[in-house]
Amino acid sequence: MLAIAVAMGIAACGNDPYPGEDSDRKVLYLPFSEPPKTLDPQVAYSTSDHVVTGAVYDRLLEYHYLDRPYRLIPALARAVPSLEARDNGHVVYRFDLREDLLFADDACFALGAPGRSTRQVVADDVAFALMRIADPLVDSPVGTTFEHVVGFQEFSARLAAARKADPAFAHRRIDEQYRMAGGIAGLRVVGPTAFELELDQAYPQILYWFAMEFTTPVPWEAIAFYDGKEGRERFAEHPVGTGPFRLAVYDKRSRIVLERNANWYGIRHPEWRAPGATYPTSGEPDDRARGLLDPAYTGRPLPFLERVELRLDKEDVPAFTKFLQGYYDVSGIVEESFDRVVKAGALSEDMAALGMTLGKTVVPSIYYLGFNMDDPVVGTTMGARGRALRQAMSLTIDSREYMRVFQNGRGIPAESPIPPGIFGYDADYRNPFRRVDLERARRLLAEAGYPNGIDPATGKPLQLTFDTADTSARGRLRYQFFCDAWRRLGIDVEIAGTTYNQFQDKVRRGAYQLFMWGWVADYPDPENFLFLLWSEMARSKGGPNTANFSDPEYDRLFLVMRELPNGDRRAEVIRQMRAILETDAPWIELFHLESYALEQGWVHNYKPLGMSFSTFKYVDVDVALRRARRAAWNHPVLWPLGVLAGLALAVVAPAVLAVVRRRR
Amino acid sequence: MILAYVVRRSLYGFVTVLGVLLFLFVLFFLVTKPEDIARKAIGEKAPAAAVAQWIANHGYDKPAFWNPAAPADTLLVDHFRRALTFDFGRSDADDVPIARRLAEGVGPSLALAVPLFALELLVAIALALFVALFRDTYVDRTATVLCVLAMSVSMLLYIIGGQDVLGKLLKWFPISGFDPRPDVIARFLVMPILIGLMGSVGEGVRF
Repeated sequence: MLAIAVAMGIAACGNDPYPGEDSDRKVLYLPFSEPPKTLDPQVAYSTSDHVVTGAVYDRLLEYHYLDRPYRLIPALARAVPSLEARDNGHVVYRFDLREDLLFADDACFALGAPGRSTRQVVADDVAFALMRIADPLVDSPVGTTFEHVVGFQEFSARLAAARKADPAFAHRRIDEQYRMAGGIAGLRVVGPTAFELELDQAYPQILYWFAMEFTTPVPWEAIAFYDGKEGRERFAEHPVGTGPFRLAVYDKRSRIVLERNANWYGIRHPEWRAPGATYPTSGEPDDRARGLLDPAYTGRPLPFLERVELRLDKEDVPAFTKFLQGYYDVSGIVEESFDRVVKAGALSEDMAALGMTLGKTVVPSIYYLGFNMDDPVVGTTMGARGRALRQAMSLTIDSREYMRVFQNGRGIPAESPIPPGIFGYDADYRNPFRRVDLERARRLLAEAGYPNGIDPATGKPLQLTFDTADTSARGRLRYQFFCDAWRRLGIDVEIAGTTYNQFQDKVRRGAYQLFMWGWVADYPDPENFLFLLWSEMARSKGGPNTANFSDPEYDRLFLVMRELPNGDRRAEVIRQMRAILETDAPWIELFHLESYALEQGWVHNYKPLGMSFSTFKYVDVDVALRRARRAAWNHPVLWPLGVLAGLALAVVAPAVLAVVRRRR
Repeated sequence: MILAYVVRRSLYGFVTVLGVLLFLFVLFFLVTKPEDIARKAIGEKAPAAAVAQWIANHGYDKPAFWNPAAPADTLLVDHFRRALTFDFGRSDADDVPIARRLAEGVGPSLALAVPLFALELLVAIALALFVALFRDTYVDRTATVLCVLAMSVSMLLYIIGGQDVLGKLLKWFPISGFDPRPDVIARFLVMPILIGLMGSVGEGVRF
């Protein structure tokens, strides 16, 4: 037993989870809690996937890191394209890629020419990416967005038909299949690095989709080579991209490593001073104070890091503890420790003494309670009575209190669907029904025909159902908060909690009355929020308008708003739409989520973003400071060993002595 | 005689397996709808067309029990065939072959389970013999009390408490993580092994 104890003692030389790794290099250590599902850029749609795809795949356009509201800057493209209207109502965008862009080195390029390990990125690669989105076998979740591209759906149909008609066709190399199916008519390659995109109607938001990984140029060699056969990996696990980093280690259930990609245009051509490869020189008014516009970095070529190490840590409490020990560089804040870390909205003294900084950002999102407008009791068929009922219920919900109780106060109370940071957000606007006014609520309830909450038809309190998809005790507490608020009016709201699957079923069938939902923006445009109340998006038609809100004037204004550029006219249309929502109250807007991030003192240039795009290229770490702090924070405490040994001896010694005496 | 017994028991076992497979089928394919599996895999934001495509691609659009066109091409037959031939196919969540997922997990699991099992046995027997040496003395009685106390504490408390004490307070071992390289694997295994030992020693010594 002694031998075992000694062996263990030798083996345990401390609590460093990265023993033997050179932390003298510029490496960023981050936790992740969920392994990515896929790294296929045309399929990946969750934040856990984007941690990798965002760093490995560059896009034609991207967002300026510091400026708000978010605005597009060119990345792989030379400029943000402008619209060209055609006579037949079609619009055309012309994209020009930069010259001399290379893919990351990879064995798959030998397919095109033996011995080759990379090649230039050309317009055909972007066309290939869009054809993959149209390919039914790829399972891309964003096919419907590109339906307005001329010829998109036709290509998809031709491809499926060709595969069905001839089994041999499906075994051809993927670029041949696409070529033989005729390609997408609305995507014309007009030069080696230029292409035109033709849409059958105006859709200005299409440019935002070129700031997402779905449209990143993808080499056909990678799809053809990484098919999962004969021991080769699948493309969904083996990215071949154009980004500032490449995937070096992908052990997705424990460790993911990203390494600097030497072929990235920012590294090979710093003299271009490309907007996507140079640290920004302007930002929000606060950014200078927060150290994000440090002269040591502004205008310098990116990236600063050599590697990013991601480790799986499913439980948030151990991950946070490792952060406090210095083994992670950026972290969220766990609820249990929130009060210790944040005091009155700012970093507590303990944390500040450790050199940490707190970053806050509003996630472009809206969380709300919704009414099913198709429902006979709370919906549009009840006309003015229904409206009064909805308004009354809205006047009892205290968003601030909800956030205080359930989210440590993290969030901005919502007055309308549009969050801060998005054009159309008005910080001075106050929705008259999004405050607590029980008097007015009771009056409105009486107007609605339910005096004191009593339903005249039954003589008992009005019965409503709150359909929820979260059956956990935690979830129930949240819903109970709302039901208790409504009980003050005399209304009896029953929580009908089911599993997520059953909830989806209910929604499909239209069998729901009240529900709670949230939406996080795909891109920073008001259209991506206001479309949630557009009648074309009704749940009955399969869209995300779960409230089934349908107002002809709102719809008309929506179509106008969609095409206007940001400016006074657009703001005016949005105000009118907001006025309709204010009176009709299909939603009780709750809050816009705020995300808090803690950064270690040795991390530079980290700005928490509300949207999921990769920012590793902007970040830098002070390696010497990290080494010193980690050493200071992690001395093993050895005296308990001595105490334990002493105790063990004290307990056992008398007995042993007794035996020895007995033997003698 | 023995042969007949063995054969009979094996047949019962096989029939039980078939029954379990049928029950699993009902649970997974009739209670859960393919749309829900699809939505879980491709995300809540995906439109209905993408969901339908996913279902077609993964073969869930076949009829469950009876297909008039081709009687053998149903979800039920597929389910049985694959379970009995150990063809686990690919994960619905991320398309990784399930056999590979199982194989990947075996290494770390064994690296923890085998030493833990061996040590538990050794420590328990050694301690038990030591206590037996002093039967009916204070050592024996104290040991009984301590063992019963140790057994009444929930394993969860050992785990969380142990992690807190060994990893956070004393900083002897990393709080979490794993590295299969032979020169460093020890430090990741020692804490779970110690905690496992602490949790099981009560029962092991006494019984």
